[in-house]
Amino acid sequence: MASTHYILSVADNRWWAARVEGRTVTRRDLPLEGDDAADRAAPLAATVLAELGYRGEGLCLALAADDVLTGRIDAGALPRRERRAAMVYRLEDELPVEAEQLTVAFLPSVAGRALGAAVETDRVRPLLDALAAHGIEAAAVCSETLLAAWRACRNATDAADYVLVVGRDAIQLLRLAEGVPVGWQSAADPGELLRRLEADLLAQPPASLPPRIRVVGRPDDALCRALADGVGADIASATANAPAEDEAALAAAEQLAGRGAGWVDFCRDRLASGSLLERLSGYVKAAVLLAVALLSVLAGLCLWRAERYRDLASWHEAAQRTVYRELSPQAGTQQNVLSRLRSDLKRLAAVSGHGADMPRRPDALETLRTVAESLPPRMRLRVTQLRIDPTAVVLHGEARTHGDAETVAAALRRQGLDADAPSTEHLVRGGVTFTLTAAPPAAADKPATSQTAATPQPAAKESRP
Amino acid sequence: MNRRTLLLSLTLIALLGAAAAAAAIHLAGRRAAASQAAGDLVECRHLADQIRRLSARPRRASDHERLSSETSTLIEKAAAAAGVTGGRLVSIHPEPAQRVAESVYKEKPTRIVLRGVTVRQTVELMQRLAARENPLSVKSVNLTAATPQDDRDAWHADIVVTYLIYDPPHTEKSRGVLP
Repeated sequence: MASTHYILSVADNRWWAARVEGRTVTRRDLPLEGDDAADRAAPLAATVLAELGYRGEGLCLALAADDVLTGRIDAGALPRRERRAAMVYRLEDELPVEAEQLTVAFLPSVAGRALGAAVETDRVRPLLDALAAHGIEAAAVCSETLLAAWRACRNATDAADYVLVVGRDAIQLLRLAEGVPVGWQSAADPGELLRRLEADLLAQPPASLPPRIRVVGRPDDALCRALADGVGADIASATANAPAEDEAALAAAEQLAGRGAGWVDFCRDRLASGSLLERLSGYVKAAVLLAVALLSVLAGLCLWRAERYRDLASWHEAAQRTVYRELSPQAGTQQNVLSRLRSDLKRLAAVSGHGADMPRRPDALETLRTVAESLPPRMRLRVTQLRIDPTAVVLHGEARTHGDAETVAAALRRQGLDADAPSTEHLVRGGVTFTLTAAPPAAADKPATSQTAATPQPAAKESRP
Repeated sequence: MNRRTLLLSLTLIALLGAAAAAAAIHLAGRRAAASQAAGDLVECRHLADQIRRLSARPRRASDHERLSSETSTLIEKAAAAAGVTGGRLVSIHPEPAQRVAESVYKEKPTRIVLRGVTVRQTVELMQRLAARENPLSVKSVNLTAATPQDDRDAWHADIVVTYLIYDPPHTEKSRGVLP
């Protein structure tokens, strides 16, 4: 899938935008007529670019030839340090503007001399800011003429002496040497162009005549005739007769793709600081580095500290196992010592009677002792059956009178037994039989008791005198 | 610095931030684990001390059901010591252990039948059974006078002695059955 790039060409009242997808150029002119054209240029460019599919990626801003100043300097004997600054100051001598006001780029030097191209920073910077305010970011700032010429030089199969870029309003003539522009002149019409060409041929005659001129764009017949008749030039089209703007757009796409098209890119120095981000680049880098360092240190410290805590936890767990081994030397290694100890303690508390729900134990022996002590010692009576279980004490016996039976019941009550009134029966041979039923001392508030039916049932025994 | 570099830088910072956050969470977990382990160690030592103290005390319940022969041997020895000899110890009948209400204990009853014994022998037998280290408890006693022609101090005795077994009920959850 071919990548898509965008170019915005800015010339006085002749702006155009283009989308380049593969080798297909879709170009749209921006209607900038009117007094407020300058104010409307940036939003209009944003609108047109959006219609072309632009989504804010970095585009190539192509400057018109009138915005680019050129001069040729001696590129030899430059200091090793501050080499570029020296070249800029040498270029300053060739230009009517101070170096501090320029953003400069140099074409490759040929035979010790280099063509320098410069733009006035204070003219381009506001334009870049205005475009950025409308979401248009310039990733490259190039010369439209040099972009088109770069296409011609790349496509040429022979060594041309000149490249002619035919634009809408002017004709650009670039002198080539070793495939690189070494001179640049602009002409408004064919006559002026011919004069400039003749002067250049006189000043620097080419190695062979006639001069070979490669044309980018669509020259008219008058121009071709003037060149052929005037200097006998060998004129050939450098491209497939496409408009120079399309060739510039194709070259801009290659520049954006990182192939170094157009020889120069003014997106540097103050023109590179087009956005707040760029202006704060140094601070942002420092902040990023600081954040990276801090986060790295923080993460490292956390991990180191976590390992210390892990060691501490391991030590405590080993100590827990030691506690358990000391308590139960025969037991194997326990993983969850605390749980095991809790379980052991619960079991031990239960079997030793310290559990809260230890049931009260029935004690028939104690009840028997209580009953025996409660019987009146001087009374004649005979006990024939005594049954003691957790819920009742039943006493069968014989006494001399009904009153004696009641006395026995009263004695049981005094010992804490909840005795009912005795049931008595007179015997023919004399005396009475009695049956006493009482609740044991603890039966009233006894909690859980056995549900078993193990208690022997009282055996009815016939009373005897 | 262009947008791409900034984006990469921000991505790097975000990743490092996430890593730092993960490390901080890891640290918090480790710290909590260490604190928990320290607390557990203190509790383990406390529990161990309690276990040592309780281990030195006599047990009032068994942690398992004894063999019937153990209880029978105890009863026979106590009977012999109380003078219950000559076939007067008629029977020793273990009965099944049953849960004591809602508690964690079961009660294991054993029924003892004596014939022709004196009250003194009966009481001494019961005292000997109840006085051992793992005491049996006399749950019920039924004394019935023998025929007067035999002996005026001859009794038939039915005694039920019991001991407790610590046996927590198994809940549905502990059996792995969903409620």
